[in-house]
Amino acid sequence: MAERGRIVRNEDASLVNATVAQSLALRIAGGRLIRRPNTATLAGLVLALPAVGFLAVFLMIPAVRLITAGFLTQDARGALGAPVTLSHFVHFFDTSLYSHVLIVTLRISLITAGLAAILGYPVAMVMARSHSAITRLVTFITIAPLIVSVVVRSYGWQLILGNGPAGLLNWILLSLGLIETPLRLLYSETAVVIGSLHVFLPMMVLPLASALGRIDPNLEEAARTLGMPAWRVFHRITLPLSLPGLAVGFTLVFSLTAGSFVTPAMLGGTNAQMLGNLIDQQITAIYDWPFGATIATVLVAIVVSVNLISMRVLDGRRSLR
Amino acid sequence: MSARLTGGMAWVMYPLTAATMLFVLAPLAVIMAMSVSTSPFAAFPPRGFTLAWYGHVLADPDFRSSLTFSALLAGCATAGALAFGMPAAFALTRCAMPGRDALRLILLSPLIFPVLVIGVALLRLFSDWNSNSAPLNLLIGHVLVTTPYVVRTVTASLLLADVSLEEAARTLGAGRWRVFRRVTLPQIAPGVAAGTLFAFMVSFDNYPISMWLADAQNVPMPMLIYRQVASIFTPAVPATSTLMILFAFVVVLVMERLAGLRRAMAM
Amino acid sequence: MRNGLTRRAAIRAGVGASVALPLVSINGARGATRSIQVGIYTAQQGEYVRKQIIPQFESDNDCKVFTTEGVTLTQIAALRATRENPRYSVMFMDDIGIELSKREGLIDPLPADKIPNLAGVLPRFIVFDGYGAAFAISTGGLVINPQVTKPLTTYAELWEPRFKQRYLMTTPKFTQSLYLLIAAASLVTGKPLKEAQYEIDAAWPKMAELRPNVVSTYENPSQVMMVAQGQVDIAGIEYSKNLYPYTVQGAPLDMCFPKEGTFAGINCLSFVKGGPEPDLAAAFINRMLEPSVQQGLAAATLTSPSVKGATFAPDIAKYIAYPEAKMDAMGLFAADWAYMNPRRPGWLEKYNQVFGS
Repeated sequence: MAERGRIVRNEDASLVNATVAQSLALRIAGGRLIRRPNTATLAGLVLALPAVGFLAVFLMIPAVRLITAGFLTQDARGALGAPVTLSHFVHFFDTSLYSHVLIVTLRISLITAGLAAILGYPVAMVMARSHSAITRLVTFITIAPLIVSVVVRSYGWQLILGNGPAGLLNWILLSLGLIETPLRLLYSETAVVIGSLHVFLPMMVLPLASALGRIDPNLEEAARTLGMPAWRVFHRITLPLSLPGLAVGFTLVFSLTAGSFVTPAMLGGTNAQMLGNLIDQQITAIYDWPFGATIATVLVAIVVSVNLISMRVLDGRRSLR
Repeated sequence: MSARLTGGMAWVMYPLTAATMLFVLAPLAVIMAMSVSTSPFAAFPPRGFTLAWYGHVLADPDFRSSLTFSALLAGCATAGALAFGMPAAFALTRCAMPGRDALRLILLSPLIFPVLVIGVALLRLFSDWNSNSAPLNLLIGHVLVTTPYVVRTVTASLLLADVSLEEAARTLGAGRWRVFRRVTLPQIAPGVAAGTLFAFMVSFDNYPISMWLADAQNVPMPMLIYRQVASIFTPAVPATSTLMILFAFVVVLVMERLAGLRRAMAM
Repeated sequence: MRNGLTRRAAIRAGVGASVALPLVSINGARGATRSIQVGIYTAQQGEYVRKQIIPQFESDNDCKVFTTEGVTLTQIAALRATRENPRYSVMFMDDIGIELSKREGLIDPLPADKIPNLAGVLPRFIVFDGYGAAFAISTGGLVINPQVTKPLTTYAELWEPRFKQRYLMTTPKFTQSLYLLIAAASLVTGKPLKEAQYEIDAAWPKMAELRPNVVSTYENPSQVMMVAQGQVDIAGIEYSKNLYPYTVQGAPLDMCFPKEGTFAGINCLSFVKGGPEPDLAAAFINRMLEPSVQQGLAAATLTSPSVKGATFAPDIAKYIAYPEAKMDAMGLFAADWAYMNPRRPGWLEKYNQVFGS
């Protein structure tokens, strides 16, 4: 905590210093408006106000209503009110079903985000650093799935990952003699990871590519001229500098996977139920608003934690520059 | 402006990328294959070969109006996301103010909240306010879910941009707006381009929000497809999806021209 | 650089301006005539209502009817969300939804004085003290590929080892999952469905025995194609209105109705409490119950009408549970939703526990 405070103050200090130096320079240059730190805060508020206002009205208010619903009781008519109770949360953590679903959700989301980072990095490198024709092709292929309905996409994966010799992947592997018996991929956590990875890969590749595109090539050139092998240049220079993009991609993929419900339903079935599925059930089938809110709150808590950790990583990176 | 991929790195990166591209294309190829089947219901492997289903889809007025509506909605939502998101990203990275972490969380909250829940909550809100215009409600919902993408990508770009260049420009006497246009914006072009592309695609493909807020006159594409898949799964559905893929290609080309995607990322 | 920036500015201006266009056009269109909003079903039934029934109604009454498609659950959720300011005037939903909506005060009884055609509806299809009237009935059973699997004579066969990992179960989100519970209870207690439905607790051990056969759950009706393609052998419990369109098109799919009984999928009309234009709403409900409309809808969507006196050609009649004699012969069964609805949350949880990983 203290460490975080220090980082914030360092940032503020450096900005203040810059501003002071700048205002001195301006005075010397011939008298313009002198900027003070307060102006920066004001400017920030003004710039952020439209977005914050918009979100406050259309998301924050419903969100607060949702979270509080988890602590209320619902009567037979469907209205929410007193008594305030923790029973829903207690029920959630008491029942092994929900803890299990929570762990499965975490596991699938983390693995998907990790794989997205590993698979997405080469794609982002190619996208940021190739000839324009290749960049265009890679960009198009990467984002094309985004526009195909997730239901249709998942159906395609069902056909590919189908258990038994009729599944396309099994058919290929069996024909090539690489396996003896068909793989059981469909309706498993693995299938959900594959499907989610397919859906959210662009969310990793695009931020990463734009981060890579901004890295000064002179840094890498200089290192290579000085005799550093290409792999080391990547490890010591490219990778660290691309970390903001990587962090953005990782948290995006994680957040989106954790909240998804179509892909887990179609590819995981009963074997890979995620929190999103439970929320979907509660809202559409049962309309137990308090319990649905409870599950949603747990999901939100997880995703917020991961986002906060990532922000801390980003902040750490900034102060080191 | 950016290094080229050469030598040892190229030998590693290109094959890996090719493999990943195959992974991405696999289900799309399956879908495209299903679209040419002569059988009256979608099957794989396809039986026969016909392009009749494409004619069927293109002639369908529901498809055309849905496509137009989705494109328009996505375009407007993207504009809104940029209008809200870019200044907010600036506030986050360039302005020293207290409560920045809280601000960041608020700006990213639509990503954190389960989209399904946001949809229902918005329906409730619009009903309480007696807001009956589905296009407006959809627009608000879509701007809500796309703004965080813009904020995220532009923030990442701003963090990597060179602040000293901006300061130097201001020292030399350039006004704030001029500094933004000539110094900052070119540096963050990749972030803005990525955010624009994201926002458009996310809005276009969004189902969880649209399903609560749409009505009969205003049917976004994902709902049309969902409806067709639930109805009877003829090869018209994969044909629609294949047409969407073509549409994505057009979008990428257009984005490239307008937002300089190629220039921003491959220079 | 400058070109790029002005282009960007131009795009933003153009896109921003186009926001105004759709809003203006929609507002212009809405202002003119009387209009109601109706929630209808999806798939072929929804399409028939939209394209065949509504245009005629609109021209006869000089009005506009706007529709949103959905399943019962989403429709009820929409009603709940718009409770303070009802947007819908008529809502189509299953009988289970009528019970829920009536209990939560979302709908009013059908105004019989404004709906003369109610008199022609079979009494068994006016549900929950006149809060709902059926307009189409489908039959619920199991889906098989007739070339591979012989029709099941009893639900007990579903538990047989030959269906191990070959049974695609309907998601516990849907009403059909309750039918399966009732069937299991009937098998365990030996009582008919009508009595077994009150003994669901006894069914859970039997449901646990079904677990090895269940390969997964499905939500989208198009997944029944997995039976046709041989990826699974049996699916359900599914409604005939979702299945028979495939059969008619020549897919190797058919329904089977074991001897325990045939579950009734009763699609009803309801009158939204406080909805706009109540007279127009009543007129629309009346139109839906018109004998000629009922005849056309039933033949086109392969569902039973709810009114007396409809007749069908043999090639359509074989798919429909009609007339009443045939319904009784099939053992058409509608559950006691007033008993079942409050117990659903607990059962859903048990479903997740039994069939989850």
